[in-house]
Amino acid sequence: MALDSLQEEVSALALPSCDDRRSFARSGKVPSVAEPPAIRLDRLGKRFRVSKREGGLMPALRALVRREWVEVDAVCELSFEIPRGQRVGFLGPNGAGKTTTLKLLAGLLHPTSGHAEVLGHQPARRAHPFLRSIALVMGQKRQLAWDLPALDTFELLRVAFDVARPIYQQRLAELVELLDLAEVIRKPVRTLSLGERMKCEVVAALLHGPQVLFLDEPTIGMDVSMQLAMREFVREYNQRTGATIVLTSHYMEDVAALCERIIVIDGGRLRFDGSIEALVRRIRPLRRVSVRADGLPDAAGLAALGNAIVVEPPQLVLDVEPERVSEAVALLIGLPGSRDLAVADAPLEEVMRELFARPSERDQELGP
Amino acid sequence: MSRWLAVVGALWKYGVAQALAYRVSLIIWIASTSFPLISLVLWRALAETGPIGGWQQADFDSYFVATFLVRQLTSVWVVWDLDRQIRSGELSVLLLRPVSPILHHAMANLATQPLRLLLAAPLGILVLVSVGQTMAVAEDPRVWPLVPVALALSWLLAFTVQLSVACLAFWLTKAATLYEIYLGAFIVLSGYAVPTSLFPPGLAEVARVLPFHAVLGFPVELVIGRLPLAEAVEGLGLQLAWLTGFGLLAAWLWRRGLRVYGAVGA
Amino acid sequence: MISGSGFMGHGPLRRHLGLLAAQVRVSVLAALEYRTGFWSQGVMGLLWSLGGVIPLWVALEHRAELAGWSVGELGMLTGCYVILAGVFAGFVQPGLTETMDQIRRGTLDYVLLRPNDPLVASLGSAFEPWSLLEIVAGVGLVIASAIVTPGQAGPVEFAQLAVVAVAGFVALQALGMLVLAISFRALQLENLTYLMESLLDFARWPITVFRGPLKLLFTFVVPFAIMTSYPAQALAGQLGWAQVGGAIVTALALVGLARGLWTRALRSYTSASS
Repeated sequence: MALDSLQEEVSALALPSCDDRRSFARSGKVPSVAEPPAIRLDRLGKRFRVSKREGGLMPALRALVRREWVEVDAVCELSFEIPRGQRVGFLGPNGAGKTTTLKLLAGLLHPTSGHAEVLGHQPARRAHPFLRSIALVMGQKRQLAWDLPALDTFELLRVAFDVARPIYQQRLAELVELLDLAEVIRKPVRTLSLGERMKCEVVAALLHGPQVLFLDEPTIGMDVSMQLAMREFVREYNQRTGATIVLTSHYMEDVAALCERIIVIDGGRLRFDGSIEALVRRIRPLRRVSVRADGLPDAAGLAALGNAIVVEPPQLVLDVEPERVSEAVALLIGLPGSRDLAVADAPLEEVMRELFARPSERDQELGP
Repeated sequence: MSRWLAVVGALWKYGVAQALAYRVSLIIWIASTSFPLISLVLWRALAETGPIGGWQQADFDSYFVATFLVRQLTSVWVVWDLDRQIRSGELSVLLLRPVSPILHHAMANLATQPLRLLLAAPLGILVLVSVGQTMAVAEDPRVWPLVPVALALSWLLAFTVQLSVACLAFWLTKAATLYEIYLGAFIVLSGYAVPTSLFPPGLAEVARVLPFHAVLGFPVELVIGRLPLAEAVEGLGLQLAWLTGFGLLAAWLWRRGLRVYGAVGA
Repeated sequence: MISGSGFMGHGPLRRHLGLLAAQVRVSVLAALEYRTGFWSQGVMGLLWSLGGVIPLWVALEHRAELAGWSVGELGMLTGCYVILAGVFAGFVQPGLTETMDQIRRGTLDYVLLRPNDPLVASLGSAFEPWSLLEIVAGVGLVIASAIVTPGQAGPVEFAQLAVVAVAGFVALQALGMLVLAISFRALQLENLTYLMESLLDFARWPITVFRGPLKLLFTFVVPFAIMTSYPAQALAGQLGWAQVGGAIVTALALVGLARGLWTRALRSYTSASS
């Protein structure tokens, strides 16, 4: 499930300027003195100037001589640190600033305020050793030449990044084996399926052995099995090389399965930084209890336990406060014909929906 | 009928908005078609010591300013847009609308004419004033009503030729390069670089019956009054003949091409 | 898996030359595969370069010589023009078109992520080897005209020729860079290469035909004089060292301007959203 359906609700929250907003959320990690972090942001901001006008002929003619500009803060005073080797997921609705943040960290965009530091470099300087140590994979844009086999583009990249041939061969062999691409890389890219193409794109990005890997919607448009394969691969790569992974995705499953830490960005601001469990606890402290039984309690009885979500005999789903879970479980087990009792955290999508529906003052309560 | 007019009007406004969206692009378009003004300077210099083939300096001045203005009015670029849309599959979006993509492109191209003329006319007048000439125009009043007709036919012919070449993109990958070849021929044979009547004897006759000349050289000569009525009417007939030919070709290619496009899938 | 190392540590010059060589190799392989390019790119290009001579021919019919240039010298000039057209079509325009395409699709980001100078990478992102046909024909035309023209060309003249030829090539690439820098901001881009091509047509004419502002334009701003007139004049033994100096300065100034604009454009790059 994608978060696009939340777009309208969230757009109402998006304010055009950083000045009247504060970033209440604090970063979750305590900076480690032992090893410098892979990524450090200090009040990073990016402001775009966008021309705007009404539709229609007269405004169009007027715009020919005089343009009206609107300033949009895509990213607003973002601060956090990511230690080496961590797998981090950026979550947020469309237009929240996730992709802009990634591009700022990769050096594609120049920040308009604040600092970013990746592996000790300033990304916008685009220093040679910096570019050699990072990689960015964009799920919706491809870099492989369309009419040639992927192998040809790999060779061009080898030259572009100045990788020694034996190292290149070895890395390529490992990646191809991990992703099961032996035959695929010899066929013209235009003949490949979407999943195969994305796998080749990932290989292309990793040929120079980057230490930080940025992934922007890598599994978009893929089927479930491909998504699983991609997740497994990223985890494997992280474990084998200790590379830092930063992932943005609309698919909750990607982030939940892969990332030990999530950073929620909304309207260009940091809304939450911590583990998924912590997020769920903070936002939706209720636990979801479900059971099947032949005789369900009446409305008053259900209200006393918690919030009823689904009441369709024999199915019953309730949200219950954590302190009262054992009491609720005891009662539900006692129902005639009770079976399939389960206790779980609220689904992540609903947590996110809650998060974005809340006004900003509540953010003060979030944090480590 | 009124609904059709409403659609056309809407497409027109859309076309104007698109043209105005990119100011730099508009300026570049104007600049790239100011080739005739540079030719004007060139041929003035050459004709300084005396007429060339019966053309005085004043004649060259009028000819090239007229070429510049006529070119603004008869410029189309549907070949690049349509070629790209066919190759990338964007055409599918246009095909889903109840308006023919051809009409869409025609309006988009037409919508910019008044704007370009508005921006180009002062430039042309400036050049004329600075060389101390006034524009020569046709003396015979019977020729005047033929001018708008010639210009309209000229635009239509340019459009259908580009449309035909663009339709080849349904089958070939490099249709736009074919158009560049056409353009190369056009620059020479249409009278853009030098009046066709100055060509060496054999070549002049051939050039004057080709569609390139029908698009540019003929209307220009009509405007500046170098054609007697009989020749003017002949020229119009020639324009119509080419227009019919290319029109039929474009229609046929379009229909066949759509079938191929649908079969292969975008 | 090895990460964070394995680089060859070549210097920038060696790396960029290697990159260009790799691209040339890919382009040649592609050209050999689509052999129709010989006709559509090579032969056709040559025909239209030569066809465009007609206005020159018309002028010559009515004048014995053109602004001080004899027929033989004009032949050399035309040969230089054909070479210029071939170099443009084969080694400048394809890169421009490819890069503009990438800007439109948003995939220029990947070029910017690589540790190479993005300007060099963009200009060298595609080549059309079949245009070599035009270049070879142009060289033939120059040699043929030189033989027919009276006058000796000695080592000094050849040195001048070499210098202005290089300056002309550099200036042409600089113009390409300018076009790329502008195309970052303007998005409907086919017009720009069209503009360059139509302007290029004026390189057929000897620079002495132009007067005043146009002469300055074509000598120092869009320096066709350097690309065609000067080499022809060098071969005819009529090029002064002052002009050669001017050519070098102009080429370098153009490169400086182009790089400056390019750096500015990069800083305000907004990177089309995904």
